[in-house]
Amino acid sequence: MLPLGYLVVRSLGADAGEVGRAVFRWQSLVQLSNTLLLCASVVVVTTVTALPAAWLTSRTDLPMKRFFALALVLPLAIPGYLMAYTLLSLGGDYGAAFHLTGVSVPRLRGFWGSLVALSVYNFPYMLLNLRAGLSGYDTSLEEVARSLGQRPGRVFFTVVLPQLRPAILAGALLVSLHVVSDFGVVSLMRYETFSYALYQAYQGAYGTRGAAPIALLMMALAGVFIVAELLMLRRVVLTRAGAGQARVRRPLRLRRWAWPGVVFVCLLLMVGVVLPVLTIVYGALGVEMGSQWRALRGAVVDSLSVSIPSAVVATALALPIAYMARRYPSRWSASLERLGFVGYATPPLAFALGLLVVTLRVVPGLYQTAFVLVYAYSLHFLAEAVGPIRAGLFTANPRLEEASRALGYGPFSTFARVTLPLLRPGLIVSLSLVFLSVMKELPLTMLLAPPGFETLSMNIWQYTEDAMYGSAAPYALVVLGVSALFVGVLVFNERRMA
Amino acid sequence: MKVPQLCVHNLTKTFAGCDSPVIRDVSFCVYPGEVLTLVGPSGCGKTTTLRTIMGFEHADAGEVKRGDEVLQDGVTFVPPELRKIGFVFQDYALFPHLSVLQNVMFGIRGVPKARKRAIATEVLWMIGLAGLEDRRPHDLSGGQQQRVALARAIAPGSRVVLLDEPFSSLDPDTRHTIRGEVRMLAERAKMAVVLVTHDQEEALSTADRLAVMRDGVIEQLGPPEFVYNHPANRFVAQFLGRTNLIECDAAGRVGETPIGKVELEREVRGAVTLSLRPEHLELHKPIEGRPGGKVIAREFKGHDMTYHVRIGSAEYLVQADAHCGFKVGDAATVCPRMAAAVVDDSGAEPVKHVRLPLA
Repeated sequence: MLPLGYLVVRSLGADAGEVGRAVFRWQSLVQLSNTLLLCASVVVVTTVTALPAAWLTSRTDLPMKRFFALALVLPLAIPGYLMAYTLLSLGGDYGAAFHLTGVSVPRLRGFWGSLVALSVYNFPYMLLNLRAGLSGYDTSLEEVARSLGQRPGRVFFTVVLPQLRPAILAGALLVSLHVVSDFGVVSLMRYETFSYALYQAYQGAYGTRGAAPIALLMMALAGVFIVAELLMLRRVVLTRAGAGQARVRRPLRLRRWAWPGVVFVCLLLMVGVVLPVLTIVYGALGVEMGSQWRALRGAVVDSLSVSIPSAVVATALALPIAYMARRYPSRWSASLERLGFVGYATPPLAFALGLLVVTLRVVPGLYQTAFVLVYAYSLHFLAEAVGPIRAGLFTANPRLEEASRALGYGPFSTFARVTLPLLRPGLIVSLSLVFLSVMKELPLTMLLAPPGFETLSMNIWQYTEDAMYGSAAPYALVVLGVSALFVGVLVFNERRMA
Repeated sequence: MKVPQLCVHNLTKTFAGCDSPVIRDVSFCVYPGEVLTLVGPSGCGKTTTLRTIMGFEHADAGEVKRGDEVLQDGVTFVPPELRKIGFVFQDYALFPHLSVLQNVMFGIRGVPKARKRAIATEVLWMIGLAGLEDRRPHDLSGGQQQRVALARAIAPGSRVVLLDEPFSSLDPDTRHTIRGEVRMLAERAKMAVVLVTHDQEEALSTADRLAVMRDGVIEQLGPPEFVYNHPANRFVAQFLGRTNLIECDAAGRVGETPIGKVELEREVRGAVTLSLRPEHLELHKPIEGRPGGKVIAREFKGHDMTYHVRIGSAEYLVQADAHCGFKVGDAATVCPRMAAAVVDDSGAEPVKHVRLPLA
């Protein structure tokens, strides 16, 4: 919170006229409309693709439904900038597609490139929200509508869609926040949204002073999205009125529509998973590693050197937060827990900029050190660490702690001897989630990395930015491996909780 | 004179945000080798009483003493880990990350590890779990888990053990066996045991003394036979098994009732309510001078038979042996076998109160 507050103060503290000129100028309006256009387009594209996919994988008898349900979530693990890299290296006259097939596909750039890359990355978030909505809702309402003489096509618009509204809204909010926060895709695609503009301004002549107003606009936009969603959701009342248990209907039989359904889902998988994986592997195979080994090893070491401490710090912070929220529920502990989600929702570039300003002012000795980087990662990914620990606390019930007290152990030794061992699996999941997230993080790293510090993601970004796609490929392959591990941990955690 | 192992005096506790106290002026003592059972409907404060004795809950007022040591009064509050009291939870709360042996060793402190192991093994042997030392709690049956919980609570050598609804999730057979084991352990190790249950049958069969609680207050405390046969009020009479509550016009040791003249267990005059349990009544062919009635239903229970008899406007339950020849529709009359308990004398004339000696 501190850096953000500071950012506001600092912007206001500067010459008001100067800030005013910086904010209310033609360029800001263009950035704003670009950002909004991209948000809206990504929301539309993800909704239109995720809705049939969610419906097929939750309400029908689609062949291999369970496999598809899991596989369609995989793009979540592939960072946006890897998708941007894929699109950029694939197209064009000498792109990977030309090498492989002899057919040259156009190289997507700017708005269209950003749209595709961000849609692929955000598709799973929308899918998960819609699927939750579809599985939780009352199918007998559909039957009621049919019995009242509505044709199935109309039932979808008059009954199903209105019921899914909260799910779509929640998905849209999440997707919009990701788009506003995204840096990797828009910068590589050279599409001027707030975050790309912020980065350019920061690199430009005025440094933090030039970038601060843009950061404020960005945060304001993210804030508007959150408030808007809250307001819209408040008017929606969708609980069952009247008696009766919501009934789960048998899955709909697709019959001759089964194969078109499978083709559709496979197409989504091709674009979202197979394409980036193949492109990256192909690119990495074509590289003469030789002298690059050392650089790659250096990048891995740099990435590890911040992701390990960040994972430890974030988990250490998350443990008392989750514990307090669960065992001593109060307004205070709940808001402490919500703090984690604020860190997650704040656009990372704005957060990083605020942090830069604060360190310069308050502790200049720490400016551009790995310490600040670890601090930023820990707060940004705090929510990821809180979740599994919180879930683990459900298994460690308070009776066990009381049993230990009754057997002669004080509160602290009880925590060490009973609570902590029970939380161990949750702690391991928290550690690995934060560790893997930091390994592939880009925007915070770009702004806060000490001079000479080059992580995997920075290398990918730099090489792609310079159109040296071959050189970026090995780094991309390593990040892809990290992403695969990330998925593995998530699946493992699901299994454990089930 | 025996010295009580645990004494509770005027314990009172109100939860934050509640107007009335959950427990009020609860007092009792437990002696070595004795099982005291707290029984009452759910929400009557029996578990809160137990948790307050343990120190999991802070009492607002009152005193808890273990032997001569004050655990809680207006000044002192000893935290649960220093109370040297064993506690067995309703859901056992066995540590899932530890083996059976490690669970039992957990509370044994201040001795070398080998000694701990020896003590734990001995306790497990005593309680019939030898051979299961290395199992994990989730590999055990409900009864075995219950025994481990018991072993863990007594292994540190506590002379006072509190059991919170310990048998509620066991099947009837296991429940019966373990009840017996608890009693035997209490006697052998001279432990004071406080057991909480909502099951009146369990309370009657396990307790050396039993305390019936309602709305945070102990309504009656005494040996089970006494409390059962001489309930102090309507609630106790109805809570412990089935009973007939009969309005009576009392005149000394006898009274006039709808079923005829009845002998009373104490001297009282005026309008009172009596309690006569089904087994305190006998079924007879109509007798001259006693109000007659009709058998309207009968429940065959194998070892005996319960008849529903209508006399006047009321219905009475009478227990008879299974060979009793009455059928539904037969004319019958009802006679008491013993003096009736007076459970409500609020309408009686004030007399010099003669109280029965409380055990």
